[in-house]
Amino acid sequence: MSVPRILIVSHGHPDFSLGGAEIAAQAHWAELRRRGIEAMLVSRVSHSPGHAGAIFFARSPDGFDVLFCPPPVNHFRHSQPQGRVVYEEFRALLDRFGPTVVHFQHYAFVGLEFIREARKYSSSVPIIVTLHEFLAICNAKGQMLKTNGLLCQRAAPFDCHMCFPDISSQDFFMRELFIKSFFDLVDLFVCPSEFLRDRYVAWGLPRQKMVVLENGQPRRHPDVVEGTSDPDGLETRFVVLGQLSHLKGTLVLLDAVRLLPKRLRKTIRIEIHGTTQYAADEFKLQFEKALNELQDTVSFCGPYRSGDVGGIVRNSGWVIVPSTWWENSPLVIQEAFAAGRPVICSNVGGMAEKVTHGVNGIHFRVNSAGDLAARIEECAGNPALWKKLRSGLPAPPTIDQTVDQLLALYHRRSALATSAEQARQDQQNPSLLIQPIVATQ
Amino acid sequence: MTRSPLPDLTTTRADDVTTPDVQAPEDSLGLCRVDFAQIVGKKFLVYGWVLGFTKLVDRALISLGEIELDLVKQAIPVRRPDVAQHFSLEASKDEHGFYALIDLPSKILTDRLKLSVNLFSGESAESIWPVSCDPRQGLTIGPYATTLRELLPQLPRGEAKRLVEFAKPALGPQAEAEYLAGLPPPVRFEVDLCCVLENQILIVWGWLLDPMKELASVQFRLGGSVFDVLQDSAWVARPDLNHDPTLFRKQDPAWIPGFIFAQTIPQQDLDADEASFSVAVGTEVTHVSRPVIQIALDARRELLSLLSRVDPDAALTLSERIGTLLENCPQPRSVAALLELIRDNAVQRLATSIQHANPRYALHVDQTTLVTGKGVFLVGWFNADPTDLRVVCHCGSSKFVVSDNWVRYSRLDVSSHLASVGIMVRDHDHGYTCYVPLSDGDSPYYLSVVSGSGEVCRMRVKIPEHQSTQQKVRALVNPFDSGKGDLRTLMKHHIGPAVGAVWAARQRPRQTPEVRSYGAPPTNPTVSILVPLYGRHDFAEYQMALFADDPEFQRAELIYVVDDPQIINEFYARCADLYGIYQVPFVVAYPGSNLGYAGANNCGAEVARGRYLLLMNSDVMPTRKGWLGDLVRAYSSLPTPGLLGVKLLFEDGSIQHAGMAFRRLPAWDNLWINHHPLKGQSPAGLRGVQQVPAVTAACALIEAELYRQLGGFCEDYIIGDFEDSDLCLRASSAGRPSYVALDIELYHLERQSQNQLGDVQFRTNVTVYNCLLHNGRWADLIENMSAGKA
Repeated sequence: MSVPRILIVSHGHPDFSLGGAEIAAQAHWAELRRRGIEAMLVSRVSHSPGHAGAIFFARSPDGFDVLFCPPPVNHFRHSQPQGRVVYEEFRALLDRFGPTVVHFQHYAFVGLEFIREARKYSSSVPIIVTLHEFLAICNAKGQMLKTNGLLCQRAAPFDCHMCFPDISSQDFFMRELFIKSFFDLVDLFVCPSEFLRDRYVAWGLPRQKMVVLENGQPRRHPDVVEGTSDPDGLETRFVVLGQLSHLKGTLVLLDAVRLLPKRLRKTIRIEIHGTTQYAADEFKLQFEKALNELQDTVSFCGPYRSGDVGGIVRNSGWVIVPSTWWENSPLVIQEAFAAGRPVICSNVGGMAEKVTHGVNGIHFRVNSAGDLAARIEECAGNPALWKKLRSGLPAPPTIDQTVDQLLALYHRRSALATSAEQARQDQQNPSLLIQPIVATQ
Repeated sequence: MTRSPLPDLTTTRADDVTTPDVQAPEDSLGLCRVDFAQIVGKKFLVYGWVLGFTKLVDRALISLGEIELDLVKQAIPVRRPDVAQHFSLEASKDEHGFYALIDLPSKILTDRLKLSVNLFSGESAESIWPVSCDPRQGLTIGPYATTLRELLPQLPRGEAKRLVEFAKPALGPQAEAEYLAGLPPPVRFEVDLCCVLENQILIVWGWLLDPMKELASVQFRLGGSVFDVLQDSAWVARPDLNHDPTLFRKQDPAWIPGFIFAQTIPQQDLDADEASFSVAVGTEVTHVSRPVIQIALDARRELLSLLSRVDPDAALTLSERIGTLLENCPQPRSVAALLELIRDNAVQRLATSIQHANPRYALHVDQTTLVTGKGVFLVGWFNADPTDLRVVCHCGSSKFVVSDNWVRYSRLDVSSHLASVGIMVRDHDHGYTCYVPLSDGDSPYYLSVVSGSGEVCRMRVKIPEHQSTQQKVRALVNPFDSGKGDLRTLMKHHIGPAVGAVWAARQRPRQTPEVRSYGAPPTNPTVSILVPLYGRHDFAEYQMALFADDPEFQRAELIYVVDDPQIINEFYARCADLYGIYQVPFVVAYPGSNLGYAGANNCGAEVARGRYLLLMNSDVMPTRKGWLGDLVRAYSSLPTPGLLGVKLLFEDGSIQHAGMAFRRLPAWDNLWINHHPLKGQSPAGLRGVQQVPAVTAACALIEAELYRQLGGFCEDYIIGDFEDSDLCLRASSAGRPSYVALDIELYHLERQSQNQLGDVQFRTNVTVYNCLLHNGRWADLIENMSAGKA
């Protein structure tokens, strides 16, 4: 591959929204830049400085950190309604920057048409898409959690219609065809977990286009102190981190605490870090109520910066990830492992994949406050168990490792692409298509 | 002299004196009185009163010696307002008086009579009254002369004459002149207007009263011609007349005194300016002259003025008569114009329903749909006691007997309504549906109910404000219940012609469609793909996302026909982006109005340049690339194909279509309906190209030349349905059968049309209409095809 020029498109910027995908995109880009590679990060934001219609605007003066504010998409099929933004503005950016790889960290809020435009820009440049959740498969926020609360095992137009009675099976089917028409143009899908990969393969993506790759841990900020010895009694301390909501299982945890014997509750400590800003009002009410009730055991510590995660986690012995949905590859699990802490999590999806029961963590039955309570009881004040699990912790990939692998993939794809291009050109040969009709008159 | 306890009414008059030597009896109970009685020769004259003579009296006998006279039978009841007033009774309630001039069977000499009265109530009374009987003196009614003179108008003409004859000496010589010269009431005859319209139609408008049925004839002469009024007139009620009901002895239930005489008159009589009427009562003939307005302008003016004062029914009777008169001759313009004027004026004043009391009947129109230029479609209800009534619809000079043609149906709500006002019904079929194939420019429509006796009652038919084709079709198709009744009759005579005419008349300006091209149009395209868009246009985007990577679409002519003015602007706004993103060249054809499925395709075909036409629905999505080429190859491998369809799948992968067949539907009178065998089943194992009776045009290939030769899709089906099988059968008839290519699969995301057409009943009825139309054309061919198979 000639001088690599990598374009990364992200649907959000970590300075404005703290999601795993945004953080990963930026970490990825930052590492590439650190290595001196010409990489441009194009992050979507929800507001525009209003430069008279220009959708791109600069985040850094060197032009490699770019923000853009496209018109709102059709969230049902992730389609960008303003075509001009795609085939004129984005195309102009592509033509000028001339990327040799286009990597979409996400397409949500941006529009699938951007993928097609990248293909139109060049029929041979590899197009990579990282999948973070099941957005393409599932209209319920991409979580494959049915609207009636049950976990969804597989998507089908009729099943989806049952979750959304106002949308017909036919419309769901057309959505699937539509999304797949863009995915057909993608060369490689990066999946942060096998669980996710398997779901997409079941949905119809070709296995040979799928690669499982963990999001690498971003480099630590210098102000974080590493390697301090752990204080005693950590095994009675638990922590939960992240965007708090029904989906994250926060209420399951609080119900579990209620079920704990009183004497135990006095001896353990549970810290909750995060924000409820995206949760439903009803959740907030229940959350407040539970906090009041359980204030002897549980304390709510509010939001945190991503750089503080290590410190927060090290302050406790266990990290609890009680999500009620599949989860893909929760960043918090990586952070827990990086800080040397075992994880107690639900026994489904990406969580069950990353955490091996009895090796580096403990599983509890998803959604079951009772089971979680039992596990907490088991773990609290059990230093032997804690030590054992700590020794089984894997070393999560660093950003270095991740980027190394990605670069290798880019390289390989480019090589493949050249031969694929040849194949495509063959396909367009008219002599293989509609036979000229012999005139019968 | 004993002062009489009875009111001695006669002494209120100065010149009347009671016979001095007759005493008024004491035991007469105040019920009766004989004012005077006289015998002259063999004639007996008596005048008196009995309270309630006509209502309360069962028998009243006068005994003169041995002769008994039955007053009830032989006397004439006369009004005695003086009696009524004395007893404070309403004058019009009864005629208490009696009068008789009786020829006695034999001479008798007596000076008294006995009056025996028996009431219905059982009471009875007898009284003795004096009789003046002097063979020498002859008639001595001198004192009663005034009374008798005033009595004359109340008597039937024959009787009046007898009295006059009898009393001539007393009444004086002028009596004859006075009373016999003019026609004495109660027979009355009046002419309101006598004129000649437009120099050819003689009109006499008048009225006559003949409660005793004494009239023998009424004729008149004009110039050299004689006409008979009684025989040749139409009779109308005259509510405008201020009549005195007490003139009538009997209550005549249908008092129709007005007559309208209309006749064409021979040229030579045009100059006569006076008509002389001869009214014959018994053997008496009275002559009356009336002027005739001959000048057309004056005649017209007078007539119109008269008609504006009379009730509309009478005016319309006149216009109908004139219409009938000129039925077989061409109507001169002036007459036609005048009739139109009369009709329009009169119809406007008619009520919009009829409630008739005696005989009881009611006619209502619930819904009217105008089939412009062809007729009117009526839905309503009619209920009547008599069974011999006819309902007729008029328009201009034409009429149509609705009651011979209508289809009745059940109206339980009307039965309830009638029950609530105390009318019990025999059955519930009060409703009617009828298509009236009459039309005459702007002439209004009216309905008339004609009774066996000839009485006519009319009502106006309200035509609704301008309705769109869709509204009309809905109004026409909705009322009929496909589950009941004789579907085929209803269809053939009523719904069919009406809907057919409305649908055919719909606005379809044959304008060239607006055509816009996006991307470079392919030169010499092999295939033109016609995709009609209606309601949703996002289907185009979904299709294009799937056509984008199929190289064959760079060379096909993709035509979207936007058959919906409501979405065209939105779609146009999207088109530039669709091409910008997907780079599939396409054409948008916009006909300017909603043409319907058939019309939209025919419009697209006019624009198409390809050798083949691919008819494609907007909700059909390909499963792979390269299918179009495969389809064309399959078509050209067949000997004489008409339409070549494909296998279509639902979104769950089950079969939506693998060829169409026909079967009979018992629920719809065994009509042939289209169906897709294997619909919903697994598509596995279906291979190759097979000949089938028909295919769906949701995705079908046809040679463009053949399509045009066949005339494209038939546009007679309403809204959309059966057009594809119709086209297939037309092609089959021309030796070009249908095939289905089972190796070629596409998705057809067919769904229930979500209330785009409204309620289920309407949609069902539309389908039944189309089905009947389809069967009308193709039942035989389908029958043969099915028989051939078996």
